[in-house]
Amino acid sequence: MPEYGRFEKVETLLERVEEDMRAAIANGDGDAMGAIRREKSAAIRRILAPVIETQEGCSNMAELCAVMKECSAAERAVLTPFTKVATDRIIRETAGV
Amino acid sequence: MNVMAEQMVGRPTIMQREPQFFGGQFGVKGSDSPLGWRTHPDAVILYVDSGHPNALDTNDGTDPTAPLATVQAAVNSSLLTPYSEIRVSGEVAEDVVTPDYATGPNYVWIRGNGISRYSPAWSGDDADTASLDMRAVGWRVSGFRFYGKTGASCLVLRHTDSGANDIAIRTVVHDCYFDGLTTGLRGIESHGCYDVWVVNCTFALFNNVGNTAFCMETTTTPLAIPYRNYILGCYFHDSDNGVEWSMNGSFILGCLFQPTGYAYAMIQVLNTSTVANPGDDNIVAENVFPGDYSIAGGYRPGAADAWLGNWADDTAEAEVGDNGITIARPT
Repeated sequence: MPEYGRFEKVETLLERVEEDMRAAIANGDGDAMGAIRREKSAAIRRILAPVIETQEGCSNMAELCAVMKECSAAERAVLTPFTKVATDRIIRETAGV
Repeated sequence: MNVMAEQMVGRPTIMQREPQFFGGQFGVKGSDSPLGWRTHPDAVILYVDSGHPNALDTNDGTDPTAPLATVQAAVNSSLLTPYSEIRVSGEVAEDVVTPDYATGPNYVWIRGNGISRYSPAWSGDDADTASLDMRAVGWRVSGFRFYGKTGASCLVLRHTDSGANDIAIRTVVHDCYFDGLTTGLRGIESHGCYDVWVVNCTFALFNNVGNTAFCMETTTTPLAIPYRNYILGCYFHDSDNGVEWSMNGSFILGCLFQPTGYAYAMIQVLNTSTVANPGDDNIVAENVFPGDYSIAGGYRPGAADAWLGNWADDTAEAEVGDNGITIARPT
C-alpha cells in the first residue's frame, strides 16, 4: 500500500506516483495500481486543501484566475476537478448557465 | 364523372395529377413567423451564405433567400439567443470570434449546411489568426471542412487565457474535417476547457518545416488543464504530430492513429501529459495504436492513466498482451 501522507508538494508526490506506477505495471499488479490512484487523490486533496477553500470564496472569474496564477503548473493540473466546480458555480451565479 | 368512377367503368383516362402543394416555407418572407424557422420559442435560425447574390450583413438573416454574408455578423446578431442555430453555406473566408460567456449568448450551434464534413469549407482569413475563436459556453460546431493555417489553429478553445470571462467549456465539435493542407499548424487548440467533446472528426496533413504541427494540442493553460474531455471516434493521420492533449480525468475512446502516414510520420502520437501540463487519471480505450507502444515511440501517458483495451501491434512490450490488446499505459 503506497504511503503518501508525508508529501507536502504536488511535484514530489507525482514523481513518487510515477515510480510506484512503473513498478506496479512491471509486476502486473492491478491492485497496486488502484491503490496508487486512490492514495494519490487523497494526498492531493490534503496538500491543496487551502487553495480549494480559497477557490470556494471566489465570486467572479477574475478572482479565480488570480488564485490560480499563484499555483504551479502541477498544482493547477491536479486541481482541475475543484477548479471546474468553482468555475461552474461562478458562471451559474453570474450568467445563469 | 370523376377519375375514380371512370376507372371503375373501364374507360380510358388521362392520368390526372393533383395540383402541387407548397407548404409554408418557414424562414421565407410571408411565412407566419416573422422570425423564421425557430429551434426554440425564442431561438432563431440565422442563415449565412457568402456566395448568395442577396447576401448582406444588413439582412436580419432569418430568410434563407436573403442571408447574412458573414458568420461574424450572425454571431454578433441581436437575434441570436441560447439554442439558436447559425446555418452556413458557402466558403467561410473570415476569422470568427464568439462573445465571452458573460456577454453571451451561450449554447449556439454553428452548423455547416452541406451534406458532409467536406463542405462548406472554412478557410479563414489571416494566416496567424485562428479561424474560429471560441469564448462562450456550450457552443456546438459541426459539418465544416477547416483549412489549416500556417501560423494559427483552425479552432481555438479559450479558457481565461485571453480574458477572465473567455470560457469555452462544454463545447461540442463533431463531424468536421480538419485539413492541414500539408502546411497547417494545428487543428484544435485548447487552453484548458473542461467538458469538451470532439466526436467523429478527421485530422490530416498538419505539417511544417520544424515538424511542430499538431492535429490537437493543449497549449497555455492559465486556469486549468482540460478536465472531463471526450475525444471519441476521431481519425488522426499523416501529420507531424497527433494529439498532445494534456488533460485530467478524460476519455479517449475509439480513435484511429496513423503514426506513419502516406506523406508524414508522427513524432508524438498521443500524449495525455507533458512536463508543462502534467495530465493524469485519463482512460484511453478501444483505440488503434500502431508502431512502438512506448514513450519513446510517441505515446506518453499521465502517471495514473489507464490505457486499457486498445489495439497495438507492439506485442514485445510488457504493456501489450500477446493478443495485441494493451493492459497498461505505455512506459
